[in-house]
Amino acid sequence: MIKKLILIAACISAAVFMTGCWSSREPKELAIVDSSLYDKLPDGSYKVTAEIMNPAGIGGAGMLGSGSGNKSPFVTFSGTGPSIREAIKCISLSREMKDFGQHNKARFLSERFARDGIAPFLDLIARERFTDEKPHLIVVRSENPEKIYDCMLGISSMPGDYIENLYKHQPADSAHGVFVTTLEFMKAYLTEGREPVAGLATIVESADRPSGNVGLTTGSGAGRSPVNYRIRYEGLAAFKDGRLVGFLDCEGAEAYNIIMGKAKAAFFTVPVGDGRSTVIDITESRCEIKSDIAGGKAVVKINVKASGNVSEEGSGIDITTSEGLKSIRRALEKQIEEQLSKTVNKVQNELASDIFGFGEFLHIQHPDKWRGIKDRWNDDYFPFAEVSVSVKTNIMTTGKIDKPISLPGEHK
Amino acid sequence: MRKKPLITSFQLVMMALGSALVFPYMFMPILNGPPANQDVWFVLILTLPYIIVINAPILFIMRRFRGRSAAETFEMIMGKPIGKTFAFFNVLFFIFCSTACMDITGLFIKIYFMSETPFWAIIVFLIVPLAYLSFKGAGAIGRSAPFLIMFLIFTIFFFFIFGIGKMDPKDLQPVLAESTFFDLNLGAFLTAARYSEILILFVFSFYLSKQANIIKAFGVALSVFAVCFMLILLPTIMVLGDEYARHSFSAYYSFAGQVEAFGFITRVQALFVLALFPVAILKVTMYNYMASHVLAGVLGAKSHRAFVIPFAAVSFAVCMIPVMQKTHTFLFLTSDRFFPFVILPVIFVIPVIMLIVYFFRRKKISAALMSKVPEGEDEAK
Repeated sequence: MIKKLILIAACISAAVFMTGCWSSREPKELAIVDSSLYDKLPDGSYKVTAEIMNPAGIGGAGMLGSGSGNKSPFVTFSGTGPSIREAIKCISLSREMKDFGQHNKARFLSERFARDGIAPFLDLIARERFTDEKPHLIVVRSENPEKIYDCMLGISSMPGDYIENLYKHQPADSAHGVFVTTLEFMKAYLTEGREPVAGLATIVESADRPSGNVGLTTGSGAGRSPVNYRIRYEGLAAFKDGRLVGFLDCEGAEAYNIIMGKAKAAFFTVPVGDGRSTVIDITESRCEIKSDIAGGKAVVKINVKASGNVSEEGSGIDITTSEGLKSIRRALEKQIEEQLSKTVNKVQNELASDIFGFGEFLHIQHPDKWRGIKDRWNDDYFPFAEVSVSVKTNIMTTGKIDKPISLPGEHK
Repeated sequence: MRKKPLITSFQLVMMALGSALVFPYMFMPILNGPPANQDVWFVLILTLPYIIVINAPILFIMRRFRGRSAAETFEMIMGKPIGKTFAFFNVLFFIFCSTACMDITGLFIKIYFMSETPFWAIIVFLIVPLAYLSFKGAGAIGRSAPFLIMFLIFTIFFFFIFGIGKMDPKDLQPVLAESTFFDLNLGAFLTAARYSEILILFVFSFYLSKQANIIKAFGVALSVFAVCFMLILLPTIMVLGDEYARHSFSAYYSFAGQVEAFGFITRVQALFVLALFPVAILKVTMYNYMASHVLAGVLGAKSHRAFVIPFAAVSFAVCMIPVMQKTHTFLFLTSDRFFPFVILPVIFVIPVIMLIVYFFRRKKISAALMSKVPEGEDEAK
């Protein structure tokens, strides 16, 4: 009986006194990082800006992010140092809470930082305990990348959340942007025959009407002057050997998404003569890549199979007939082929970075040939590879109506 | 005198399984072993016949000496002085395993979760439940195992199912194109040489109910181990890629951090922590108990209990040596340069010697087996 009593007393004592340990952290004492920005300054030092959630400015009655009073939903802290880690440490000189990086949703990289090479940055992310590989990796194209924290964020309350919401919804509407997590970037960086890409955010002036929510339209500082720029998330940033080497615009990113089989929604305005056109929404695409070495040159065959629906018909072609659809399909295939070829050419000639992973396909399909050329792939083979593109499309549905509203001879 | 506790075949399988799964779950040494590429899943398949071959001598001895304690078996085959020496080697090996596993687990916790907690505190928190459970004996260990190991297995299936969306089979290609026959077999041999769980069956089969089939228990433990290991290995490679997985101390933990589904199943690596810690403690406990139990047999002590705390104290003291708290030590202990070569003499060389001696002395041993009633164990159930 006495033993049982001692045991019960020990359990109660343990429950009371052992609620935490040396490494315990109370949520109220955490500075929860929502996004972070990495920059390289002209003097060679690093600057890291952390966007920290401000619980007092988030939530409340009514709308998302309506906040309490006039408080901003986030604050930013910056630190500089000779290394990235020291710059992060420097933030703690002015921030009173313990940082918590596991809720970080986006890592923004300035163009300067990315061009300088991000291998030490990747090493830090993989090595440190307070970081993880989930956040999206995005290059910010702007002279002043810190503006990203002053941009209009639609109805999201914080830049990190804004990117997360874009990731959830943009791919269903457009293939003009790419979303790459830190892990995906790291995998591509470490994979033989593939170079990584990152998302691209450009800060542009805007005349759009802001939401009016407190803190949302005025960036990090409630009470600042109303912002007149916003984030345009389209295109991609291409890397080679861990350094940013260039960008692809929205059409290039769309081609990239199609070749990588990631396009869930791609709209093509297909010209069919007389300045008229039909819009096809590609909802599904699959791509098969065959890579080989023949005659001392790399030969790559890209076969795309895509299916989609008629989204807008203004060509005057009767799409209820198979002939009508066939002519649109042919024009669509030609257009996609041209767009993919143009993008691949640009990547080969201007970026010289195998972001499509043609080398990886060669590695998988012909490992014996890959072994002999892998060290020369990037410089001697990829830029001079003969790439052929073949596209087959299938138009599945014509939407809620069959005959076009404006079919010649049938409308007033 | 109290009766010796009985453990069921299921409990024994769970004990061996849990001990075997802790290391793949925690740091997956197979990734960095030969051929160190995307073909390591094939190495795992090749490992199974190697395990069977390496464990065959000890399996034979176990079957032949069913119901005898480990110390008794050593003495019956090798004679008293050499038998005691062999048993003592086993004791040293068990203390080593207990200490190394404690150190590795402590370092893992320190690196990944509790960087600000002093290392000694982490080890103390491992040692307290270890000492309690080991003190209570085989029955308590056997009863704990199914609960803890079943949860560990549940997490393996859970991570696999909800990680499917992120897996890319391309990461397993090219298949068998870049691995030599020698590398594949060397990798399989080194992985098999780590499988010291046969010793758990050897020591704990003393408590196994008579109806239980020890060979079947071994087969079931090995089969489930292979399936679970494959379910750990494949998604890790297909999500992280073999190159990044090799860079990571705990590739499976990194993979678990990527698992998410339906927008609300997210950050489920907490399950990893919940599953791993108790099973790691159980593994350390089992080795502490085995060391105590065999030494008690060697010295003719009535109970193993007198040795539990001293052995735990030895493990604690070794873990406190500064060099044992370094990453290099962690890497060395978990590498193929060390563990397999410590384990192999105990699970293969000594049993082979015993087997040879047994065949030379089998008539005498058989007579002794007929005349000597298996000993009991003064131990609480």
